[in-house]
Amino acid sequence: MIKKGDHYLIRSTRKNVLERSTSGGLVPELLGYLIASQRASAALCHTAEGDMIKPYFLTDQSKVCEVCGSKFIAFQNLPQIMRDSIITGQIAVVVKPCESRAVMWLKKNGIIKGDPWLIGLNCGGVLDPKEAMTILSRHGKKMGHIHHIEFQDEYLIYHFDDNSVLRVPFAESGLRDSCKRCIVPIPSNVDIGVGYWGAQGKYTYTVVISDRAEEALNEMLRLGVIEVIQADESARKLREQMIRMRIMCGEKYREMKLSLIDQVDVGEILNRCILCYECWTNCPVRTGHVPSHGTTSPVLWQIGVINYMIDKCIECGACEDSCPVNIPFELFIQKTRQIKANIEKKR
Amino acid sequence: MSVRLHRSICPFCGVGCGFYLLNVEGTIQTISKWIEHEVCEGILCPKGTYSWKLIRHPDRLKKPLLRRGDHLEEVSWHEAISAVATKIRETIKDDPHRAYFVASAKVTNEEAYLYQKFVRVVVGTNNVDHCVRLCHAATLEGLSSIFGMGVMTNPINDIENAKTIFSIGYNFGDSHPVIFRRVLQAKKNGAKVIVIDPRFNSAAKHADVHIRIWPGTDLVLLAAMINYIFLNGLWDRSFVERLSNVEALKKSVSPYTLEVAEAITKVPKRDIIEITEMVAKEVPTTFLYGMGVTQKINGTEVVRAIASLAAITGNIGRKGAGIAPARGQNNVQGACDMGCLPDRLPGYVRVGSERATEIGAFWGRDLDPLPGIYSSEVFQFAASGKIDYIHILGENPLLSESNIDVVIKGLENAFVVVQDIFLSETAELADVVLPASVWAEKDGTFTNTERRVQLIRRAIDPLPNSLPDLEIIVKIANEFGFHWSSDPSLVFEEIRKIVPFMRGISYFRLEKSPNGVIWPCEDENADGQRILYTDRFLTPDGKAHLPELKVSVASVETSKEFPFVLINGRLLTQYNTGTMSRRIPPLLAPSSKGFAEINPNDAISLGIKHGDRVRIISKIGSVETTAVLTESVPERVVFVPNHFADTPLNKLIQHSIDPISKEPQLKAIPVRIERI
Repeated sequence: MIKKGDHYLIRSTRKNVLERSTSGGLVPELLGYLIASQRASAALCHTAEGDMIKPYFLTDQSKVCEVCGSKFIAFQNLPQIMRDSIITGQIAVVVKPCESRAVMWLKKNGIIKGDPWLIGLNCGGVLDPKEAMTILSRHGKKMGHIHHIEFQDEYLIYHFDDNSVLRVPFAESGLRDSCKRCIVPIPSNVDIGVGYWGAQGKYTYTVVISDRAEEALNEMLRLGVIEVIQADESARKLREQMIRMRIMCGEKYREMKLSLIDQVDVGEILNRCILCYECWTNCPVRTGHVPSHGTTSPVLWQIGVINYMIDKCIECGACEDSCPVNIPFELFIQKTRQIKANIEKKR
Repeated sequence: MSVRLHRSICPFCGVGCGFYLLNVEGTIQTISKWIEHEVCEGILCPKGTYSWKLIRHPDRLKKPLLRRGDHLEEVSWHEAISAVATKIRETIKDDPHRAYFVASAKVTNEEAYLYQKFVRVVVGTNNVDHCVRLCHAATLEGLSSIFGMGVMTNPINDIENAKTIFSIGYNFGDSHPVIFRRVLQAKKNGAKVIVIDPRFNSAAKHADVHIRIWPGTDLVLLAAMINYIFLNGLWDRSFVERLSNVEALKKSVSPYTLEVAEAITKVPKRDIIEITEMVAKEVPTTFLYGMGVTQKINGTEVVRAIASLAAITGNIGRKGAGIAPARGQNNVQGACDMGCLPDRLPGYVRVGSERATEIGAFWGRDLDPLPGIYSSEVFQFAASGKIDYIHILGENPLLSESNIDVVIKGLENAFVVVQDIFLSETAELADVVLPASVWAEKDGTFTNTERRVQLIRRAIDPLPNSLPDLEIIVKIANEFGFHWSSDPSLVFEEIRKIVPFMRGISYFRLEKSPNGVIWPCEDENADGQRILYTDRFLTPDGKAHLPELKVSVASVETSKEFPFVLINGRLLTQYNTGTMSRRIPPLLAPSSKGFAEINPNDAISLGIKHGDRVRIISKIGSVETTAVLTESVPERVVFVPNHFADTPLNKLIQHSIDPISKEPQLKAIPVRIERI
């Protein structure tokens, strides 16, 4: 019997799902189950198509294999898709911690209705394709050769299809810069938290959070779709250790970037802005579409938006992903928050 | 619930960014990034981001319209096509050269191909042209006269490999943000950027050297640069054997000393020296240019000068170098490749040539051997009663062609058929309006500015009662007994047979290669050629034929009556005449109305404050707009964006064209400004 609040090691009993999965294949099985049992009409996640990883709506339970596997370049903000599109009915979404915060904000502000199933992923970060490609090409590899990436100690490990590996220090690992600065690897406000930290062997480490997740997993267990082992002390400890390590790496890198920014010509960077408004358009917590905010000055515009974002930014980095001129906008928001916190400490 | 992501290519500019369209239960609801797309890598500008809003826009034309008296009435397709065919038939009987067909730089290659085929095979004339005549006609003529082909030579992402970027008459910051991204990457890699533009625009903001040249004098500057290179031995000696006519070029630029150039262009001698040394020594150099140089009566010659500069410094045929005429429309490259030109057939075959006769035989018709009328001239002809029928495919000449009064008169004199997605300002004057489907509603290929052919597939069914342009053309052809296929893949197969540089491309290949295939690609099993002229030029002897430059100034003289020079250009969030972009609210938020940028010192003498209403008057007309005071424009120069129907620039621009490219001079217009 699976109980809410407990930790488990779970894997699919089906060979075709398990062999395509990086961990235990719980996520595809759960999505498939939710659709088959009509608890959700669609599941928003990602699929790999050749070398490309793109958002995917699973609507047919027989296609769960399309969803298997680690999605290491999936920085596309799924909540953005949820925001602009009107998908009626109950859906399920696979979210990284940053995305879970976006969904929370969208729900709180009535932009998405209903109560979507949230399958929360433990996340050490996803790759920046350009950075990763530079690193890989030095070792004669291509993006298409990556099977999955793994965070371990203070390294990122690339696992390739030919079973070879490449170990790179965290700070120069090819992860997105926003991911490297992230210190929240575990999602909150989700139905279920999943990942590979703490799992020895091909299992998905699962933390059951909501009542409905408990119900669904028990039903899946009863149907024989999954195998479940209670996570023992050593597994829990391992997971905690990995979480702590990942947070430490994030804090170190974040601190370094925040202090480095003092030494660059911030004005010169802000001045690159061509007022294309892509940062605004891609921000999951923006209000409305109209982006000019009453100014035609790129620097003033950015100052205004940073001011607006000071208490709203969920640090997902979508702004940085979409800027054609590489302004580290989220970093500026983080720095501004730090300065503000310093001011408030003195009161 | 049916939810699908469809790959698509942006319908706006010539960069051809890819993204996914999200179709939920039959409606397109948003776009999603396509990170692996080679051109944009998931980065878009707001036009692409919001392009999906056009698809079921409430203004979409929903039924064919026929003019009855002073208004347009909804009619059936049958009635509309009959009216069109009847008028075409009448005109052919009288004189097929009294019919004119404006093609579109926005429709697919298959549609462009079939359209010009209709004009040549069914109507029997070469009276077909399109908006390239307003934009890079100078490139077609100028570059092909030297290199054999009038196209961009290197891929967009190769800009990152340049050591020097030389941009003249071009604002990459506003016109092509995704290209700008590459320029910034080049800068990060240590490149230096030279921007030559009278205005301090967003490209100039990021330049290492901004040359505030006096409008219309670019050719003199380039001649002086070439002259300096010859006088100081800065030409690339290893490259000279690939060039011919070097002495003639050298002689033609010899009068253009630094002193002469400084006096005419207002660019200080030391700046001319600085940029010339950068271009010649800090190689490879990429040359970017745009409407600032092409929309001039000497545009072709300016393009030839840029090409010459690149050639003598050895900046062609290698990584990080080359010439980048960044095209404006999503398929203007394709429309040219497909022969929607009065003097060229598909594949740039000259009308009247032997090869043209072969193509005619393939099509089953003796083709007219004489070139047709150019679109920059047709409205003059129509205004004087020489054109009876004008068919306009996806263009808005009422706002884009020079001298709006002549255009209106021409449209009123002729029987006008407009095939479009919205009721544009031109369509309001039409006799028949045919509702066309948008890009997301059809299959077909687009070719971007770097010669990349990309396939799009239908992401949503056409709006009821609209039809893909291909089907409309086929319907009209049917009326004349021509039963052509409306299957785009079959049309493409025909294109491959006729156009040698696309022979190696097929739908099968494009399906397997989501990033498209770059032409020339003659072999199905080989990659397309990304960098042109690596070992030979496309001229008969393989050498670049340098020109004997005829240097001139393209500024019409200012006078006491018209002491200002009007220049115009693009804004990032809007697009050309605004038929699409003015219908997307978020794109209007930054600017929804026209304005005129005036230098504060001029404003003082004119008694104008920021925000005042002003009248801009030229020899032929006037417009009223709002003054914006800024030092971005030099004294005596005024800048107006060309997107807003409330400030129609073509009221001010008289008809004046480059004799070679037939491209009109749309910039450097003498005007005066008055406070209202």
